[in-house]
Amino acid sequence: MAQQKTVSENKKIEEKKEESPMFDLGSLASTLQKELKVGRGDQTQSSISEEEFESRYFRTLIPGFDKLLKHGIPKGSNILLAGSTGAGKTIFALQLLMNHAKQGKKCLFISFEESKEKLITHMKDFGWGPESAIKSGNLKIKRYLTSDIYYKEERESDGVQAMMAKNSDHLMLDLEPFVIGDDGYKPDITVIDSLTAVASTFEGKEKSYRFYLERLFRFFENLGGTTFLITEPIDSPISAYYTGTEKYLSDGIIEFYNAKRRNIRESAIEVLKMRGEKHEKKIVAMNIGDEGIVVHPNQEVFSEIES
Amino acid sequence: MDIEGQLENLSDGTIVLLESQAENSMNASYAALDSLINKQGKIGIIITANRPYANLMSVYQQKGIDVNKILFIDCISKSQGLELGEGGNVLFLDSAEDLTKIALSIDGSISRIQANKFVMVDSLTTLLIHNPPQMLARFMHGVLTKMRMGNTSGVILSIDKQTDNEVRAEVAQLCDRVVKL
Repeated sequence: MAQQKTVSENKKIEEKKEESPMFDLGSLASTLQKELKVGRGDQTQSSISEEEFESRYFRTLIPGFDKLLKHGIPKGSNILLAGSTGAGKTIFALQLLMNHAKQGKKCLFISFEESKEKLITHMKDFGWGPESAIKSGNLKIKRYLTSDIYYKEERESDGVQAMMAKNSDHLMLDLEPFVIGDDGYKPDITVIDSLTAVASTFEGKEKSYRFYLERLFRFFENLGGTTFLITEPIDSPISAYYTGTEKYLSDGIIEFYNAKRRNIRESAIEVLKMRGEKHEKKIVAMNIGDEGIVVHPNQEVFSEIES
Repeated sequence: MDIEGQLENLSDGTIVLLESQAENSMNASYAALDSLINKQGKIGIIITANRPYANLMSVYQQKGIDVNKILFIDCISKSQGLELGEGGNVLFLDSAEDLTKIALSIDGSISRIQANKFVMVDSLTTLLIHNPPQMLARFMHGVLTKMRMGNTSGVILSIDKQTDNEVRAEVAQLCDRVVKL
């Protein structure tokens, strides 16, 4: 009986062996190694028609990210990209601009920080080939100095309300001709890098900055495109991110984290707020690889994230 | 206790915590691999934080284990600056501390390998050297859940009485069987 059982078990084992086809594990290893860098290229499954989607929403086309949203980012929104230095905000913004510029959308990057040349070099380093998008005019990069948005002392003496009524703020005057353009250029997507740099010009004038921000948000709202505003938490009373003005004014907030644990650094991302759209409420893993950002929408991170 | 006897009737999806003395730990892994790969014909995904891929390949081949049926997730070679080489059934990760990438690799492997498969973690005790107990417990919980969802068998190697009690208890309660050698 015992022998019969053994024979029967052996038969089962033989059957199981036959069930396992040979697998090209070398090829799988190489695919997985690549996936850690470039993602799986999954697309969001939206429950609405593509036409309706196109009229109402916007995909970042950043691998994995769009899966954090039920449909996409509502068009015309002002979205904050918030997080500490080196967390991936600028790369995220450049990557989504490149993705859309390649699809024929008009994309504008306004930098108060890095030079145009440096930004183009970053894009080239990731292999995104920005040259043709720039040549076609679909991607425009404009650098401003923070001194371009100086705030005259004499104007402050008018009082903030008077300044608002005058509608003559320097940033507005500088931005309008560039953003809209003589040739009718009107961006579908605009990125401002960064509000932190803008805020630094208002040091000691918190109220003015708050009103200034309101006008800035309204300006982009009226343009009708989707705007991404990069911001960093800084240890200063002007840091509107923490005082809540930026949070309050924006339609959405995407938070970037850069956690360090022992010898490793982990990047993570979270959709903290997205008006008019359902989104995942969790912090998920993000990787900044050789070809740009990859978000892993189903993978939690194991480092302790402090927000 | 006879490990082959413990593992030979392992139905698909069964997960075992295999506890051995330090001096028997390699023998425990050989026996487990011989049973699961050579005898049962499963494909193995081995997370190694103990020995580098090149070394494991060599010793497994000497023990007659079919290394063509193993996908190695090597968490040690890169951090030790070892020569990684080209190709092979191996994913080199930066460090045994990078639990997020280890979890992503396991998840990617489980979902892609459509054959009878198992995951072997070698070992829980070594992962504890690199990671805080609570974090490792959370990681193991996530990995074991993904294994369950993918109906994947598993062998979690651990050194008896050398593994943090909290982590051991967490893992043991998620396993179907605890085998002490």
